[in-house]
Amino acid sequence: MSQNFAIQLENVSKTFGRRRKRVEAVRHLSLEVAAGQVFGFLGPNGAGKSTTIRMMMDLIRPSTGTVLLYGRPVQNNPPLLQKVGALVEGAAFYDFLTGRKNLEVLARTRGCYDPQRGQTLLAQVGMADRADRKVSGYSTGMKQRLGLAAALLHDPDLVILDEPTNGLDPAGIQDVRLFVRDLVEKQGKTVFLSSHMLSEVEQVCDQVGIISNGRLVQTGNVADLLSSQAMIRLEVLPLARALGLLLPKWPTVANGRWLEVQAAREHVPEIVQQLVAAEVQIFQVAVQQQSLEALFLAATGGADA
Amino acid sequence: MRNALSAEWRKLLGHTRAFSFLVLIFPVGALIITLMIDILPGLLIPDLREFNAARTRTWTDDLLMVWTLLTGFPGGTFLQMPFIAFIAVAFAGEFQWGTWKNILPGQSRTVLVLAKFIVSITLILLALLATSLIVAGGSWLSSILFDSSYGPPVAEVDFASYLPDYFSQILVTFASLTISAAIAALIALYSRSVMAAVLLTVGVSIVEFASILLLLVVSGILNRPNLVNVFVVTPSYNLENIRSWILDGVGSNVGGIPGLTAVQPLSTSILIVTGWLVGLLLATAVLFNRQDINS
Repeated sequence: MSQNFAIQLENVSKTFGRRRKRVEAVRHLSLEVAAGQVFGFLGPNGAGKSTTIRMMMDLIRPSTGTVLLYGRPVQNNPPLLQKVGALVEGAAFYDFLTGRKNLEVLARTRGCYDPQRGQTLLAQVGMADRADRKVSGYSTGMKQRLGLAAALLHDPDLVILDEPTNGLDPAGIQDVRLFVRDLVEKQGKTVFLSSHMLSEVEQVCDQVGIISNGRLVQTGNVADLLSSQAMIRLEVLPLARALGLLLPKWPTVANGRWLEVQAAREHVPEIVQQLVAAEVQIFQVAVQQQSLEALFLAATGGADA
Repeated sequence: MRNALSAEWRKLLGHTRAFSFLVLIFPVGALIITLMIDILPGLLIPDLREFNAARTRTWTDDLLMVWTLLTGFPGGTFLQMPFIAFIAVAFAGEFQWGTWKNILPGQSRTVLVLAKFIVSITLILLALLATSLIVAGGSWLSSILFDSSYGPPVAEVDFASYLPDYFSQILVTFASLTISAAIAALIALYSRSVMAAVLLTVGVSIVEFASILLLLVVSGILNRPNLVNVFVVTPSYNLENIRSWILDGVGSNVGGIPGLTAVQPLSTSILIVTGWLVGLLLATAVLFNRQDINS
């Protein structure tokens, strides 16, 4: 059963420091990512996204819990990590080497040096003509592109990308989105994508997980999550009576002549029935699908992504 | 392991600044010193030409010189500083460049530590070998240019006695360097700082050597003269003892320090030095395997 999952986190926690300096970066996080999809990982700054990713890469050891990749524990398991390629918290390279030489050193470390594959990847990420310059002269965007190539050097099954579009121009961001979908749809890989850009996650990901204060607060299929919550706008009179009726059950705010109610789409008939029963006049009802941004803000209590 | 060694070799050779200033400095320095102090002044100044012609040098000593200079305290410790810095760059540099996260998932941490250690030490030994050849080559060139003697003739050398001396000196220098390198690697991984690794490694060498004085004072205060014998477990003592056994045929009593009676047999000293080296490398591997990589 677990073989169907690329990633499984079982009650994982990570605490840094001791006594007064103790910081719980991740708390009792359980998560399953099925193989063959793009999973979006969202959370405000300091929510524990990077710590979680580092635990998946065995760079950081969990204080409690287990991280499994393809059903096997990741700890002290370099052969298992050969199935994983990652761009973690901004691309970092040996500044004193060229881009091409950096890829060579990484490939040799993993025992998969193939100059032809390196050249193909450099071309794919648009770095072929700059590969023989030292990395010290690269912009952030160029390093990110090289980081994407490095993550794919050994043709991994699972690709973990932490903010892959940081420092890229709009065209580069679009390239990465297409690239990520291509990895899943044409190459059958699994992508775990952590991003600040909610629109990016909404466009690219099949599943999403939202982490806040080290806890997973929301997870599920992106389309289901977005359709499960809606903004219901009602033009009603008298406004105060309607507000008093709905507020105990649904988050509701008055906006001019309109009431804005956060509720599931299937609650619309119930809302209307209640208002009619209380002799509230209803002039218009509009149901708007929730954006991922609204969902994120509701789940994290309004923190910035 | 072969993959890790090959990657490390390319990486460290590719760090031209560190490799040039911290490793090649010895052979290049030897070449410059030979040219600027020995050969060029002799060619330009007639008095020096006569002085050079009168000098007698032996290639047997020249080949040994650099290896001898690198052992002992304080000269050896300070001459080893560039190499210690090179080891520190190799280990702590990965934290500063933020590159551990790229290489760790593909390879065992223990293998990476060993690969870094082996490649750094190999590069350092090759540089020292080149330095000793440059020193001997420079003296040979000088002897031709200034018509001086440069002996002994190969036919007259007692290789049965010279080669063991030569290789044992290289071995002692190698052991001394590897222990310093292992200390530097351990501190570099712990502190994640190149500067801290260099300063603390030199500090450890000084403290280790000075521990004999501390032991003398404590043994005097406690009126227990035998306490001085604790010094024989230190790498410094055992390296000196190995050198003394091989070159002089007797164990070292560190210049006759009062109370030092526990002179070690050669085999014990070899075991203790090996123990230090293996222990330090094990400690480095264990530390690194338990470390969280946050950078």
